[in-house]
Amino acid sequence: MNAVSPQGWFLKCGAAAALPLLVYAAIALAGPQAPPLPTSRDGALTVLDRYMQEPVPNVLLVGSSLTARLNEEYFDTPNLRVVGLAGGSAITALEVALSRGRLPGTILIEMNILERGEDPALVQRFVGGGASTWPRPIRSAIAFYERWHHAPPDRRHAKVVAAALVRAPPSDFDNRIYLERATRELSTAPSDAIMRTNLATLQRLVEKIEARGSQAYFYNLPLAGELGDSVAAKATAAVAHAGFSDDRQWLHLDGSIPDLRWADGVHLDERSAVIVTQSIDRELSSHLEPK
Amino acid sequence: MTFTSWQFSLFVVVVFAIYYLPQVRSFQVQLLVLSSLFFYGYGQVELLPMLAVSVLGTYLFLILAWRSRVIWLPIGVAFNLSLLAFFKYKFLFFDPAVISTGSSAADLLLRLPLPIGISFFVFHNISLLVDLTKGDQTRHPDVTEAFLYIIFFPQLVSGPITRAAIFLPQIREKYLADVDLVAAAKWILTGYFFKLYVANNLNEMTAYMDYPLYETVRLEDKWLLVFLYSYQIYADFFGYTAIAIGLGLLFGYRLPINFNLPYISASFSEFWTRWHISLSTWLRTYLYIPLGGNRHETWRTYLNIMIVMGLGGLWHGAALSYLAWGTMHGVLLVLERLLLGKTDSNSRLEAVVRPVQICFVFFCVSMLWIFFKLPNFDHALAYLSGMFTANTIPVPAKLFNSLALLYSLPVIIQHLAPPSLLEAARRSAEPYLYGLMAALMCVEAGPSTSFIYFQF
Repeated sequence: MNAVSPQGWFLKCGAAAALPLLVYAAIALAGPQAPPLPTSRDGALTVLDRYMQEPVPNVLLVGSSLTARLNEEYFDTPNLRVVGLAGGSAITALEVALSRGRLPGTILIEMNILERGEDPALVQRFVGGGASTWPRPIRSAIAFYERWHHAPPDRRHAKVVAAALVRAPPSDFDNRIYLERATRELSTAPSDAIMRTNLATLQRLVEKIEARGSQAYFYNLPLAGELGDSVAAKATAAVAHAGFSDDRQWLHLDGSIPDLRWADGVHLDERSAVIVTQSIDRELSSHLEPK
Repeated sequence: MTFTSWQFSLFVVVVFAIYYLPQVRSFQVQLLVLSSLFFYGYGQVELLPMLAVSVLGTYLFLILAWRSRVIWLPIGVAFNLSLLAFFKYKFLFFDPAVISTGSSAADLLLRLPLPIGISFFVFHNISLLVDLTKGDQTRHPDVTEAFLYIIFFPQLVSGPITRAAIFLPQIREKYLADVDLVAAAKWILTGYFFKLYVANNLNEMTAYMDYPLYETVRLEDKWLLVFLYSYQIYADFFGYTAIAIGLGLLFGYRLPINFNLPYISASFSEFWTRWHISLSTWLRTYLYIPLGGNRHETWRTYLNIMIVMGLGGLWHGAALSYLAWGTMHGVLLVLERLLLGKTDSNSRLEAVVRPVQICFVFFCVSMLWIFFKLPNFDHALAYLSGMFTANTIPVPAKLFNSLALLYSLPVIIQHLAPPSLLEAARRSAEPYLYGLMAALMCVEAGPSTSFIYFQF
C-alpha cells in the first residue's frame, strides 16, 4: 500500500526528474559541444567529429577504411589529418570538410572506391546542423575514459614504433581465405552509372576546393596483386583517370613499394601502412616543393 | 504508430482527456474502439479492412458457435489460423515482386505486407471463440465489446495476450477516480526506461550480430554480444509490455503480467512460467491441454511438449531458425523432465545448486536467442560456429565493454538485487527513483528502433 498520496508521489517524482534535467541542460548549454559517441571505436562519427572540433590542418587525406589504416602519427608531413570513413567514401568526408570556413591547403583524395557516394545522414549531421548538441552523460563518461585509456601514442613514440615496424620482416599471416573472398567480390565491375555519378560529384567538389585556393591530389592505395588486377579495380581506375586526367594531380604509390601485406585481404596491415605513409610523404614533398 | 513516437504520446493524451468526460462515459467502449482503429490504421490504412474482416468474421463464428459449438467453433478457429498462415507464410510460396495471378484483387491480397500484430490479434480471436462458447459462459458480448477485446490499442500490436474470460468482465463504465495513476505511471516509466535506455542502446551494439557484420567481431565479443542480446530482447519486450499494462490501467483495464524475472529461472519449465507468460499460458490452455497435456503416457507428454514448442517457434515467423529455436526449447524441456524428475531435492545443497542451475538456464536461453536474432538459419549456424572457432580477424570491430555493462545494468539489478533491498528502496525512495529513471532515459536514450516483437 502506498503511504504517499498520488499528488505527493508525482511531485517527488517530477522533482527528481526535473532537478537533474535542469542541471544537465545548464551544463549542456554552457559547456562545449558534446562529441558523438558511437558504441564501438573508430566509427565515422568519431573521425568526422574530431575533424570538425580541431583546428583545420594543412594537409588532409580523405577516403574509405583503406585510408583509415594510415595512422597520422606515422607521417613526417606536419599538421596532417586523416579522415578515413569505414564503410564510407571520400565524397562524404569532402562535403564535411568543405563546410568549414577554412580549407586545408592540400587535400589528398582516395580514388580506390567510386561506387560509394555521399552518406546523407552523416553529411546532414555535420553540415546541416543535424548533430545533437546535447551530451549523453554515460557515453561522455565512457568516452572520456576510453580516450584516456586508449590515447594515441605521442609523435616521438609513434616514430620509434614506426621505425621498428619497418625494420621487422613482413607479416607471414595467411590471408588466403580473406583474399579469395575479396577477389570474388571484386570479380565484377561496379555499376558504371553509379561510378560516373559519384565522379561528377567529386569533380564538382574538387572545383570548389580549387576555387577556394586549395590543391587537390588523388591517390590509389595499393591493393594485393590479384585485387589490383581485378575487374572492379581496373574499371574504377579507368573511370577515375578519365575524370581526373591531369597526371600531375596523381600521387604514384604502387610500383615502388615492396613487401606490403593485407592481413584481411583488402586493408593494409600496420607495417604496410607505415611504408605507404612514407611513400605519401615523399610524393607530397615532390608535389609541394617549389618548381 | 509506435509507443516511442511523439505522435503516440499526443494520441494517448487526447484519448485520455476525452475518455473520462462525463458526456462520453456511455460511449467509452466505442471511443476506445475508434481510437484503436486509428492507432492501427495510422501508417497502414490498407490493412484496416483485413483487421475488420478478422474481427467481424470471428464475431460471426462466435454467434454461430453459441448455437452449435461442435460445428462452428472448429470452423472459426480454422478461419483464424488460415488468416495467420496466409499472411505469415504466403511469401514462402509467392515472390511479391513477380506476383501476377490475372486477378487484381488476388494480386493485391498477395502483395499485402504482414499485418503488424496479426499473431497477437488472431490469438485473441481464438480465445474469444473458445472461452465464450464454453457451457458456463452466460455473458455474450456485443460486437463493439468483441472489437475492444481484440483491438484494444495498448495490447493490439504485441500483447500481452489477454484471455477473453479475463478481459471482457472488465468492460463497464470507467471513472477517473478509480484509476491508480501512480501504478500506471510506474509501469509506463519502467517500460520506457527499459526500452529507451537499455534496449535501444544495446541495439547499437548487437547490430554487430547481423550478417555480415558478425564476421568482423572478435571471438570474445561474439560471446559478449549473445548475452547483450539476451538483455536487449528482454528489455525491449518487457518494456513494451510494461507500457501496455500502464496504458491499460490508465483506461481502467488490467492486462496480464507478461514477465517475472525470467533470467533467474532455475529450470527451463520455470523459464516458461516467467517469460512471455501470456503466450505460454495461451499455448498451454489452447494447445497443450487440448492435445492431452501430461494426462497420457510419458512419451505422449514429451510429444505434446515438442509439438507446442515447435508451433510456438513457427508462430514467430516462417523461418527455419524460429522452428529450430522452438524445437530446441522443447528438447531442453523434455530432457529436463527426464533428468530432473529423477533427482531428489536437497535443501542443504539448494543454495549451491540453484545459482548453478540459474546460470545454466540463462546460458542455454541466451545461446538459443541467436536463432531469434538471425532468422536466416545458415547465418545463425555460422554465428554459433564462430563462437567456438579461434578467431583470426585482422581488423576486428571493437566494442566498449564498459558501455555494454552500464546499459545492461538495469536488467542485471532487476534480476539479481535481493527483493528485500528493492522493498526497502521502494518504501523510502520510490518516487525519486522513478524520477531519476525518467531523467536518465531522457538524456541517455539510444537511437530509435522499433520493438523487436512488432515483426511478429
